[in-house]
Amino acid sequence: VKTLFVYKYLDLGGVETVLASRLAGLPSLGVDAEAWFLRDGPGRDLFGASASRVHIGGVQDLQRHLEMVRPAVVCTIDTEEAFPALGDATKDRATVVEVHTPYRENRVYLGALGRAGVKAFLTPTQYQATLVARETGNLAPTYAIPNPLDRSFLGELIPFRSKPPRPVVAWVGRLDRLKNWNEYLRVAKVAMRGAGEVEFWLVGKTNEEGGELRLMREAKRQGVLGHLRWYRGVPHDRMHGLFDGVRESGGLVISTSMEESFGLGIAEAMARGCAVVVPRHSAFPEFVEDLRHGRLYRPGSAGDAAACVVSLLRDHSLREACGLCGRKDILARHAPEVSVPLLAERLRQLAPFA
Amino acid sequence: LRLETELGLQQVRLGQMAEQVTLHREDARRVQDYLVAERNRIEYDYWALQGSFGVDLMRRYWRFLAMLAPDGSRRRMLYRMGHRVLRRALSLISLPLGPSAMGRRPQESGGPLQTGGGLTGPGRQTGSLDARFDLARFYSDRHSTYPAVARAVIFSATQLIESEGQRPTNLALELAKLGIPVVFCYWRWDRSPWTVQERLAEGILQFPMDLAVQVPGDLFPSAAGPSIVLLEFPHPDLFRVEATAHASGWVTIYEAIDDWEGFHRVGQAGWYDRAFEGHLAATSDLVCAVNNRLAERMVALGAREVEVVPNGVPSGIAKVTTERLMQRGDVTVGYFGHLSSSWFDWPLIRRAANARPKWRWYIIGYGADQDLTAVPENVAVLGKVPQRDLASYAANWDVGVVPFRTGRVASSADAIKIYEYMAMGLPAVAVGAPLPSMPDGLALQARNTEEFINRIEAAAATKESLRDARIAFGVSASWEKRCHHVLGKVESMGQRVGEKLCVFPTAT
Repeated sequence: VKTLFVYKYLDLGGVETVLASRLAGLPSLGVDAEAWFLRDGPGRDLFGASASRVHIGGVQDLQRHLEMVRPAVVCTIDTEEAFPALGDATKDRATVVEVHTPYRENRVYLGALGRAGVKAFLTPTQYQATLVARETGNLAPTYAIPNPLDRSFLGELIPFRSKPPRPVVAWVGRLDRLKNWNEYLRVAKVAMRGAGEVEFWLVGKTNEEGGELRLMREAKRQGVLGHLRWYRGVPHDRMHGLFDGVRESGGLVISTSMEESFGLGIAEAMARGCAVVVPRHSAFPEFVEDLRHGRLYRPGSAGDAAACVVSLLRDHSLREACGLCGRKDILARHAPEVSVPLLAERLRQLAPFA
Repeated sequence: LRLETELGLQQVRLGQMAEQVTLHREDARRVQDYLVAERNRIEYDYWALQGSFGVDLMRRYWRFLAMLAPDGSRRRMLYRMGHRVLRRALSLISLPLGPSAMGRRPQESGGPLQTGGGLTGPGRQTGSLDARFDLARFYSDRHSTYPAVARAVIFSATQLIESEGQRPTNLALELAKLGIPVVFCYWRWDRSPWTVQERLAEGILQFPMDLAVQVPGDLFPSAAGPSIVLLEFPHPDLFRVEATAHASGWVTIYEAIDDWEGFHRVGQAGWYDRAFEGHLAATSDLVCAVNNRLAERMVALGAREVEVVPNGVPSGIAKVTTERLMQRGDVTVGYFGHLSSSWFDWPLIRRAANARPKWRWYIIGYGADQDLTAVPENVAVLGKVPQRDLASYAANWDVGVVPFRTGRVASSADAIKIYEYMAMGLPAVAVGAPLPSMPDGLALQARNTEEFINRIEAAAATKESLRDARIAFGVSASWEKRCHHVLGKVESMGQRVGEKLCVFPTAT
């Protein structure tokens, strides 16, 4: 099945990583997969040996490529810009729309897909599938296909020679409203009172004007600036080491996101044996079970989140058990060997004349 | 045989010419250092003037007048007429009316010791793409020959002026000598000064700090080994820089070299933020302080461990290049260093000089903000002297002094000049500044004018007997050793360096 995945950016983000895993795994499963990026960036190295299957170009170039290569399936991933190149629905090509974004404003285009001839929607979780079905008015069937984790997260857990001096409570994500970093700082303030010596690692960047200044001001206001280590823009291929540091410190990873289509950062943390604390909403309950992988807290309650953090930091055996169990369960579902064949099977079913 | 003789002679001549070139180059650098320092002083004065009450008043006056009598108005015409009449009558020189007279607001200026200075304020230059290109080329062309450290970036509140002998400058020079490419991010007062890259051959790229804080990602590329960034002052604009260095796996080193909060309390370093310094102290991979007092302060701010790495002495500072005969007194006392009245205790010098009229005092330095002619007759203020000539002046002295104002700022300082006096074999007497950890008797401390005079007499008596011990101490405190001290902590994975290199294993 000749398949072309289309995405906007060739950066070092989560989608690019997922695509790299797919391009590495799909050919051996009978799917001749390629990726097309509308904008160039530093992400080409992510693809390693599959780099020859990566193309970069504008919409017109994409159109020409489609005419030349004639893939059986075209999967756009949160990339509405590609639709002019796809043209009207054809009999010999299936258009599949993958929806990974948790940002409502980036899903507005889904409501206008009526005549695009979409054959199916793919999402990373059941939660997102329900959401997409609602927003598209069940325009086409929606399937949840688990994201494959990057291989760098699958390696053995090796103890550190030098551990962080205090337990680390890490937060990973973009510094924006949806990811709700302010709440992380509020949780940090309350957790510090209960957990004593603890350090907070904030991993992420902001593209907002004055965002960094706001971060510093807010951290200062909450009295946590002296306990906050900020990692601004860690390359994805180094994230596994960071999670290892969190685990070795006796710490955990928390999310305060207001909505997640999946929660890749949390899944990657689990893969590295970290216990997690997440809000009980959106896609989290699908793969995080309370007291088995970490703790689920009441959404919007910094106090409840902090209490969960403190309880896990204090209970070493529970935290370690959650970490190990989380790794086992997440790899059982999201290791490329498991999730890529599921995608391959689905693509075969969606291809014309299947 | 004749050809060989001729060849030999030519080689001797070439050797002589090479020596001359080296000397000329050193002279040129000295002149350049002097000019850069002079330019900095003028710019500092300019911004101080811009921020003064008088200029602000005048600016408001002109703004008001421009409103009252806009261009082309009848009032404007009347103003000009009145102006001409008044000028003729009073021979006064006035400023033109118009927007050009408004100038820039003082808060748009910056400076490590000025109030409210920002690195990225609205009036500051955002930098050019060329600078980023230079940075990328520097990184691609230069490779460390020092196995344990691949690259170094230094954020300094001062420019790289060797003759001023500042700690960041000396560390940069020593790191470069070890073969480590160094990016020296310097403070600039305004957009115009673009430092001449005269240190590229030595492996140092000088990069304006206001631009560096905007492109931190370019500063910290991944390297084939651990790389270090030294933050020499806690400006809050370095928040993003430090965070980017962390994310790139660079080892972050915060060096407490001054009590910045003390400066802040006396109206300087307006940018200072105690919470941010606490952040640096608690989260840097390696925290160093120049003395125990600042080390204790770092612990109070949240550091778990602090390495005391005192200031040092540049190699060759004790070498007398030219013999210089100076008028001697019963006791000849000297000082070299900064002359700002926030440090230097001019009244103490006046009182001591008046009390001992037969002593001779020599003051060498820069940054004076007082009338230097109002000193007693037995005090000679010599101005700025190139660092390599200091020893030839000091060879005429019996005692070197550190007459600092008693207060929080000076009491936390690790006066570099004490180490330099020691290297020159001179006894030292300090007021205000604490003595470094050193064998007893090499330097003395005084608390008031009377003690100051008595200790100078006592110290002068030990000039010859303790000379060798002083020189030995000076040698042990070289910048080269200080640099190795810091690098040793990195190599031995001290404090949180090991943790950083475990989290980012590709950096090792």
